[in-house]
Amino acid sequence: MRLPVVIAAAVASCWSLAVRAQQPPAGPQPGLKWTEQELITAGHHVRAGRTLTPKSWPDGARIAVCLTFDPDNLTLPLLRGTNAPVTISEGEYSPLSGMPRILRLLDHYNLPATFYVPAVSAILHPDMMADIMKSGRHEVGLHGWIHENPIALNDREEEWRLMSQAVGLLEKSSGKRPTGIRSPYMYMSPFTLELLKRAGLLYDTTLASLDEPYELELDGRPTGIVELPANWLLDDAVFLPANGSLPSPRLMLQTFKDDFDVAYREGTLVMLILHPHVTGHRSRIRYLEALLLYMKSKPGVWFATAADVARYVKQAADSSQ
Amino acid sequence: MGYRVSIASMWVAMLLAIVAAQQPQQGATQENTQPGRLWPEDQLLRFARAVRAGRKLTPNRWPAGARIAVALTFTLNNSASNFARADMTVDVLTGGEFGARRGLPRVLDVLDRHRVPATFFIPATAAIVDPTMIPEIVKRQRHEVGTLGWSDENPLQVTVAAEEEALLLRASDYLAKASGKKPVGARGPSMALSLHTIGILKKMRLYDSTLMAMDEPYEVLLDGQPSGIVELPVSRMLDDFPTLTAPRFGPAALPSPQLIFETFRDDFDEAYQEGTLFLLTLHPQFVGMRSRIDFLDSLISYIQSKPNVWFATAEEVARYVKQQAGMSN
Repeated sequence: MRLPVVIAAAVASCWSLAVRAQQPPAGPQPGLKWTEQELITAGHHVRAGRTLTPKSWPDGARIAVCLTFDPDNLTLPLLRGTNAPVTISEGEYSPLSGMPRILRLLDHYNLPATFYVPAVSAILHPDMMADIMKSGRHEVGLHGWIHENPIALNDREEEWRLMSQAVGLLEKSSGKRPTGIRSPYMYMSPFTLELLKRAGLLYDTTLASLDEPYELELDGRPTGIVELPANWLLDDAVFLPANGSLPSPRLMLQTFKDDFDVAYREGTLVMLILHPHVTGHRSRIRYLEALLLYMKSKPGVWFATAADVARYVKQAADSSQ
Repeated sequence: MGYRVSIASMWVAMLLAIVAAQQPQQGATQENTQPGRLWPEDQLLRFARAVRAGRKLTPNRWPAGARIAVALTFTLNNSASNFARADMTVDVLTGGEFGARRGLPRVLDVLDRHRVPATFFIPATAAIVDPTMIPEIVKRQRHEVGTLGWSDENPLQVTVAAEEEALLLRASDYLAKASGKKPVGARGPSMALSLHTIGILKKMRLYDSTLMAMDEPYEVLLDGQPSGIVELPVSRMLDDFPTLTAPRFGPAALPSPQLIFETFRDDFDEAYQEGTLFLLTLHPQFVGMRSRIDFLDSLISYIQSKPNVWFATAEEVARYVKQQAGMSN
């Protein structure tokens, strides 16, 4: 009877991720006993401050669009300490197949993009870094040292060690000190925001309180750090892997288009979160191209790197004060 | 009862493990090993080097001026991995039986109608349990039979290299006897390779069709050195397993044959433009269901409607790219 129990446990642990959204979480619920003050302290640790959408975008554009890509490459298996050949080969798809297609597409339409590169991806694939830098249009931002999970680290100094190591490595390999970050796994620990300040970063693109730029507040105080929100609904890694929640590129890109339409009406920001190992596939890339063409067909769309957007909204907000 | 349900969920769990890899559980209770973060750069480089993609092997041109090679491959695993785990849950095994008795005949029928070749990767135990399968495939005189381990076993759990090699040799011998021809190609059972596998394939002079680093043929690097092994890569996005399983037998992430075959076709269109390889990986027990089989038929018709397409077995593709690249046989 032991074996079935073990199997059941293994299955359950895998399952738990999939069903987490559908079932109430188990375990103790200490928050039920919190006072109002304790609730506010917890709920306001990291919050959205003032919105930063400017009165007008550069050249009278109505909307800013950031195309961003996370080349995670081999970092996830290496982080977990595995080099199983199939897993590694899936990671290699990004630098060897997905990235070249994406860079070709961006070149073809002369569009800028931002690449959030885990430092270890830059170490293992220096050619990829050179290809990103070649056009001079693209930005390289932080995505952890080896795509570490900051929540699981649960260690301020270890998180800082990895973050500052990554800043140094990217500065060396891209020739430019990164000014922005997408937190690895799109998770932030309770220490992360404070560390972003310590690193002197201009902006973050991990959180999702609003769907337009805003200033981050830490424990009720403005940080000066710009948030360019990254909503999971605009993330291909959730939907479009073979076993994603909607692996139909046509339907998914239609949703991205619908999102763009409302953002265009509201005149704010579209932050697309794409992955070379997902959208870089042959059956996916053509739909990205169709989306780009659609957005380009509208008047007044400002395609920009995230750093350019962050700088612009910060300056606009500072000068209007 | 819980046991049965658990076993049925194993397939789901395997696929979900990939998702799990990308989405760790939140919260400090999660086991925090993340060992890779502590390694110095040279250790990372050495560790990551074990099995990697080498040079591309897409030839300047395909035979007879074709612009693309199309390899239809079928993973005929049926219930072999259940046998490997000694899981004899009766209702689950019917899925494999369906593959042998209904799925495969329907697939062979479609291939007959279009007169196209295909490759079937078969674990020996599946052939032993359903001994009519290989004769039916061989009878067509167009198809190739390749290995899928002794019993679709997970090679990452067969920790001893000699044991893995013995299983593959035994499988190869069995298929040679049953099909009348020694297999020249291997697909990693359970869609996995161990760190020993490429060395074993090298000894047995087999090509591989399991890795996923590109959409075109390439040479595998072993510890940084060219191995001489031709890789005909697969893709989870060109595989019916993640999406088209019957919900009871797998993840069934998008069980709409129409939408999934649209994706296969889009992928083919892009491959046709790039002029490389289109290698599809299907499972007769899933694609051979009534609601799916006509989509396979239509996809083949569509591909055949394009000029200059070379339909070939994986073996023919592997031999051709190897010869064009000047690699010794």
